[in-house]
Amino acid sequence: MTNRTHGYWRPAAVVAAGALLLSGCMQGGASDAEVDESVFADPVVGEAPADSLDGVTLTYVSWGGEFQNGQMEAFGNPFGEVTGAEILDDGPTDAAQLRAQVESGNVAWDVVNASPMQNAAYCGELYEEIDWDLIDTSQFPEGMPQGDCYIASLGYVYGMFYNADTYGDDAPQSWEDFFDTERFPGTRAIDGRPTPTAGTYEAALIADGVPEDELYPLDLERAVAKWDSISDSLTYWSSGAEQTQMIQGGQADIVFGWSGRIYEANQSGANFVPVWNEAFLQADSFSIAKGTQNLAAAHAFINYALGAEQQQTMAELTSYSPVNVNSEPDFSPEAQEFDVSRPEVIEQTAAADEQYWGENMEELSTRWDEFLNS
Amino acid sequence: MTTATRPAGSGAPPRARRGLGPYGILVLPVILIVVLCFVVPMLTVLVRAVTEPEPGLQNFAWLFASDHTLALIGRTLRLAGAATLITALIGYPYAYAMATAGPRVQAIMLLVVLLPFWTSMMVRTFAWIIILQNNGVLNAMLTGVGLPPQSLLYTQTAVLIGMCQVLMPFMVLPMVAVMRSIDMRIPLAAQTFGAPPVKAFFTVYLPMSLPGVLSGALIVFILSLGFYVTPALLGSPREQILPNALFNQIVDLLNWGQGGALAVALLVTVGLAFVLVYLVTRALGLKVNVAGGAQL
Repeated sequence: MTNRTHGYWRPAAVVAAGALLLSGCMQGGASDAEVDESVFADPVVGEAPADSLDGVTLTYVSWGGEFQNGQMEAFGNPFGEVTGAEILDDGPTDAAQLRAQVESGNVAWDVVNASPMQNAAYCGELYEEIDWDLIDTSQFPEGMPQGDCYIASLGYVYGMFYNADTYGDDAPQSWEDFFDTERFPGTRAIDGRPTPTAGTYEAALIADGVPEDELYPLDLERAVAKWDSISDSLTYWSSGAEQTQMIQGGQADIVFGWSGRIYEANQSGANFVPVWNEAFLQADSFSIAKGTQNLAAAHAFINYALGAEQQQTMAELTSYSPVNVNSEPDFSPEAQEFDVSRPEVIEQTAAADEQYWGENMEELSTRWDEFLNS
Repeated sequence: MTTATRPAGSGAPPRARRGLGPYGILVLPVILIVVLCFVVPMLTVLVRAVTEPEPGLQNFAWLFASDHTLALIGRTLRLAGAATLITALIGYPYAYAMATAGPRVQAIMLLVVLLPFWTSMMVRTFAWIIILQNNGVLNAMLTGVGLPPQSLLYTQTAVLIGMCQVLMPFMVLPMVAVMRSIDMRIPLAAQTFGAPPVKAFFTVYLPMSLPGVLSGALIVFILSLGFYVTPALLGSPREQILPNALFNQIVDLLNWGQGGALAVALLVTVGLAFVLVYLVTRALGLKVNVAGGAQL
């Protein structure tokens, strides 16, 4: 053979090698195993049929870190042991990445720990509608979010937390106080993400005198004007970790944030006190990636994860509140104070309509993004 | 870089032969990877900018209609300009000292420039948080000597400080490369002809070192246009710059069309910066290595 003939097929080999390389980067979520789906009928919460998912690989996606480790230990790994499925964990939850997977038809994720707002916004588009015959909700607490494409996976509160060392006995107790920068001077850290947590507009409206049952549809201009009126006292967090960091760095006297993250800061020596009055009861959610190869298994996973024992372990490991009425987590006194599933907390909280937020997400986030950039 | 200031008559480097030659095929995997992993995704972004949510130019109309995207581009350019100016002003004397120092001092100075460069950008940025936060190292020092504490974290100042530290090597290294090739006898000759040292520096040495300054400035300017992590962690969401706004559109709001339009705006800005530097250098009659010239 001459050099010339080699010349033709070197490029071909290179192309083949390149294609191999690239296909290596892409993920595939398909499981070839045959699953008898009839065993998942008549589910009992917290239970899964033994060895029903041998050979199946299921990918659970959550926010990462110790939080996701706790979830895996509480229900991810045990579900794999019972059913024989291999449970992979991935993260963080990212709607853009899920959209890329759905659009390419190459869905690698199965069960996704997301926010009800995201699920409601992209129900049927990025998330599967849940088949409620496959999930037993008899022990699911009343008042926790549940929609066509999601069910709460844990509870927390989006509310105000103040530094006890700054305010002592005369501390803010309501949204009206939060916006009263003369009586309670100090820096307030609020949600600086373009899509803020549900409750961000509501807090301003409640402070401005709107009764809780007349909040919706939200008067965005009124809410933004209220926020703008105290903008000299505002600083902005853009992630949960940043809430904790801001408290530790002395950047804020009051944080309008997530209870789990404030609890973390207190664990590291901060002295922030929750104000449950008019705070917003929130939840993360279990949802299923649109186009998953393991639809029945994903339902079984959620049904298992909602069990009393699983939720109890999850709560103890992550300090978030369980979403099963029979769970009785053994919390330390400090964690007990942040357990928002207690009736005395729930009684005081206000409602932020996640469904409304999901359905109007475009408008709500565009307005907030404009406020942030004005 | 060294070729830029090579004295005339030292002989041009041998011209590369045209075509790829017998081993040219070895370049193919690289081309393939660049095309598949870079060109294709970039074209996808461009296509999305004019097709999502429906075909048309509405995303670009949005870009120019809303005040806040224009303010965004202006803020991004100002920040990049400030970072370039500051790194140039600090970097020039440093580079001069480094280029004229003895080999041992030069090695130490090089290490000082490169040491932060070898540290992860995340680590460096978090270090700035710890230094600049309200109860951080800086304020402990300020209050310790009786000065009022400063609230710097989550301001443009903090972003600028973080960016300048990260970008300093990109400014200093091209400068040093050019300065080292300057024959120090030339400014000396100017002095023998009666120029005071300051005048000799400004009329002889500075113009000769300009190619290094310009290539450093170009790299720093373009890199700062694309900075994401530092502004995200040290800045405020109320003072966003282009890359962060782009990230929000794509990851948070899932407006891939508008995100694409912002990406095009960023790309065009970078392209214009190249053209501007090209025109400036041509007007000054300089040869600038726009690819970096970081070789020492």
